[in-house]
This record gives sequence, structure tokens and C-alpha cells, in this order.
Amino acid sequence: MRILIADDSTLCRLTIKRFLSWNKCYDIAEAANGVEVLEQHRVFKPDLIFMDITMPVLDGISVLRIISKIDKTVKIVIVSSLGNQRFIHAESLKQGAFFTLPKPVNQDSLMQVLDAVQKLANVGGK
Amino acid sequence: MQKITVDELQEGMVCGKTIYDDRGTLLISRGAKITKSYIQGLKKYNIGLIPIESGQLSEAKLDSLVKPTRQFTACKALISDIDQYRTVKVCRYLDKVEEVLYQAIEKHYVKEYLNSMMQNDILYKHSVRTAILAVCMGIQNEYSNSDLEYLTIAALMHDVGMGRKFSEENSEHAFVGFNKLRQNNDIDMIVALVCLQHHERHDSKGYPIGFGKNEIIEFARIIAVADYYDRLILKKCTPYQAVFKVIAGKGNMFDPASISLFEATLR
Repeated sequence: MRILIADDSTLCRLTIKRFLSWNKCYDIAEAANGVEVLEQHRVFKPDLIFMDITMPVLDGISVLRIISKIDKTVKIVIVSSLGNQRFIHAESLKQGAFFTLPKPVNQDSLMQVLDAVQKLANVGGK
Repeated sequence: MQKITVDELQEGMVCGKTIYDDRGTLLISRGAKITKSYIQGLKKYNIGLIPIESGQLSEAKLDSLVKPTRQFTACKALISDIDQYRTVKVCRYLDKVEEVLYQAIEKHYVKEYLNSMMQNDILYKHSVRTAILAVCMGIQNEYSNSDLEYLTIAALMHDVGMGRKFSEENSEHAFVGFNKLRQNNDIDMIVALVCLQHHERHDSKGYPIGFGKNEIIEFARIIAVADYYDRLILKKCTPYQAVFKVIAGKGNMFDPASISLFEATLR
């Protein structure tokens, strides 16, 4: 599975990357702003994107709105540290996100999301 | 050499100066004998005065004529054209605008696109004029050379989704253009994004997606202003009416910062 981690903070990218690194099947790429996410979406063609909301140049929600319009197969998980989690969750799902995770990300919830994506992919494959 | 109107032209006269159309396409070279088909062509292209030579030119003289490249003359013609708006101070930035424009045209995909647009006069002129105005605003904003180059490419290609027909009602063109540019790996994503967002508004009432003020990238905000101004001119607004309408859009259609840049480029 190809996974893209999009966050302007190197530390946050590293945290998620470390959680994912135990599984060698994952192909991981990174992006530091909204335009880079679109660029990676074109070149790297990820199956799953972990994306922060506040990013320079173009924010996460805008990228989510664009990608959900052009690509129906990629799953996007919004990772956010902003205050109102319930509102963010509702808004993200409305715009086509697969799930939302609060920051700091913990390994359990990350694994649950990956599990769900994997299962969905298997169902789709059959 | 004297200048006469197309109606006064007669067959057998000798053209005194090479004549180009607005895009720099060579119509008649210097020294060519005027024929019936030339007169019809000149009428079609709306060429005002024709310079006519009384004597014959030698072949050696003809060879020594410097023929500028097509794109070079095209831009030159359009720069002088936009200067006739009498509102935008292109003269002040002329050297820089020319430099950036030629740099952008060097890119093969820009060249291909401009060549494919040769059939569509309105769209071609609109794109180049938008680019010139956008670059003026970019210079005002003290952009670096590479930023200006991206801004120019984005402005030249912002209506790529229009296809061959330029129409106001085609609201799908922004998205179509974005998809087209996105699939070409040579083109920077910023250029594609500008294409997507150039009809978005500051108050989120734009199309195709309805982005808000903070979700529109800076290049798209600048090009939106330049694009709107030129579309008003195309709709036969006078330059002053157009400037007034653009400035009236401050805070609802356009963000105040881009309008300040636009105001700074005015005379």
C-alpha cells in the first residue's frame, strides 16, 4: 500500500512514519504543503493520505475538496490539532474524508484506520 | 514611401514595409507586389494604413531584412496594445515584462499551447494580455524572477480548458483545464491550481468548487483580477469603467491585497 504523509511539521511526519515503519509493505512518501500533496498525488499515486489541516500555500481541507473531486479511490485521513474536533470531523467527512484523527496521533487509532482501509481494499478487490 | 488605406490600394503596387497581424504572423513582406488576394486579406485582418514603396527593391536589400521571430513580434504588438488602455502603466515595467514573457514562452508546453491557439484570436490575445497585466502586478509585489515566470505561465494557460471556443458561460472550463494540466507531468502543479481557482471569489461564491478567501492561492488571486479586467475590456467596457468595476469588487470578488496591487499598476 502506498501512503502519503502530509504535514508542515517534520516532527509530526516523523511520528506517523515511525508508527508505520514496522510494516515493510508500506511505501511511504511525504509532503510539506498543499501543493506538494497534489504533486505527490500525481506522481506517487497514493492509496492513503494522512493530512494535516493547517499547511502553507494550500490548506488540508482545500486539498481534500480538490482530490475528492478528481479521485474517488484514494482514502484521506485528516489529522488535526485544531480545537473543535467534532466540527472538524463533521466538515471533513462532508468534504469526502475517510476518517479524522486528533493530534497527537496514537498508534492504536492509526492501526485501526489502516486495518479499515485494508479491509475495504480487500472487499473492493474481490 | 507613403501610407495609404486598403481601399486606395491597387494591384501592382509594392509594399514598403513588412506587415504583421496582431499576433505577429507575417502577412506581406517588404517589397512584395500587391495582388487582388492580398487586398482581400488586408481587409479581413483590419489593417489600417499600408506603407507603399514607389520604386523597386533589389534582392540583396530584401535578404538583409531582419525578420523577427513570430512570438517576439506578437508580444511586442500586444504590449503596445495593452498600453493603449491608457490606464495600466506597462511602459514602466516594459523590459522586465518582455524578459519574463519570453522566458515563459521558451517552455515547450507553453509554446505548443500558444501555437494551438493560433486559430482563436480572442482567446490568444486575452491570455497574453492577462499575463502582461499579471506580471505587472507581480513586479509590484516584488516577486522573484522564478515566481514571475510561474505567474506568467499560469496566466498564459489559465483558460486552457476553454478548448477552441472562448465563451463566458463555459463554467466547466476551470475544472476541465485543471484536469488537463494536472495530467501533464512537465507542468508545475501551481499552474494547474491557478487554472482551477481563477474564477473563485473572495466571498466563496465563485466556481467550480467555491473556495473561500484563505483557500485561494496568491497567484490565482492576482490572475483573477487581471483576467476580470481584460474580460471587461473584451465586453467593450472603456478602461475607466473596467478599472471602476474591478475596484468595486474589492472584498467580495477579489481580496483587498490584489486590488491594492492592481491600483499600484495604474497610472
